Amino acid sequence: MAERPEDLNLPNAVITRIIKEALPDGVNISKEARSAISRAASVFVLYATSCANNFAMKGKRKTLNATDVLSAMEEMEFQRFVTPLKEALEAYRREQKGKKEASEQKKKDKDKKTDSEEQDKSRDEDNDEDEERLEEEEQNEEEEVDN
Amino acid sequence: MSGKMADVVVGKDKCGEQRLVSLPLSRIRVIMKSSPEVSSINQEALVLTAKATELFVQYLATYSYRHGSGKEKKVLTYSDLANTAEESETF
Repeated sequence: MAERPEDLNLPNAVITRIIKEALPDGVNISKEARSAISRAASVFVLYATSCANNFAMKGKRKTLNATDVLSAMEEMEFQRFVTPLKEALEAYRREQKGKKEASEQKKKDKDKKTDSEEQDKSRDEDNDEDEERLEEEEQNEEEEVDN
Repeated sequence: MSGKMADVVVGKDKCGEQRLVSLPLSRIRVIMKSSPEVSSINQEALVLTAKATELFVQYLATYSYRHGSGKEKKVLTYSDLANTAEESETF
């Protein structure tokens, strides 16, 4: 491997914070312990990736996806992680959806501003058309009931 | 590219709401890509791996602490971890 181990390390500050939040208040970590955990974490990523990749290849895919990672966790006997990971995935998807809608909304607003009156006019027309369609559908339903 | 996404997921929200993942996605991605067989990684997979690594760190820390002798001294030491590695099959 061309990369040296140092480059594949995770930032100390973040690792330390995760450890501190996990341990009871007032507990400290020796430098060596933190370093060991950090390296273990890097190894964990590598192992999880390799494992997930096997699942991807089994599915004849070249891109690792969320399911592959979850399967890897089970394979590595970290089933305890599966539920919290699924929750995190849900939260992430909701966040992404929200962002997408937010940026689409922004885009709409931007278009409205640049096109000004013409856009407003056509939008009103669209609304009227929708209402007409709805009314028609309701009428159709009534006819069927009568029959 | 990755930097921006990392910021977003690392939780530099304007609202300052609860973060999803603390570890930098860009770094996680680098580690993942160092594996030669891996061609590409879906963003969700990246996020999950980062989250899993966090869980791993938490679990390793608490497990070693509880099973080690450091808890009287209120310090997690290297020997605690060495013990865990030796005795626990999972680790």
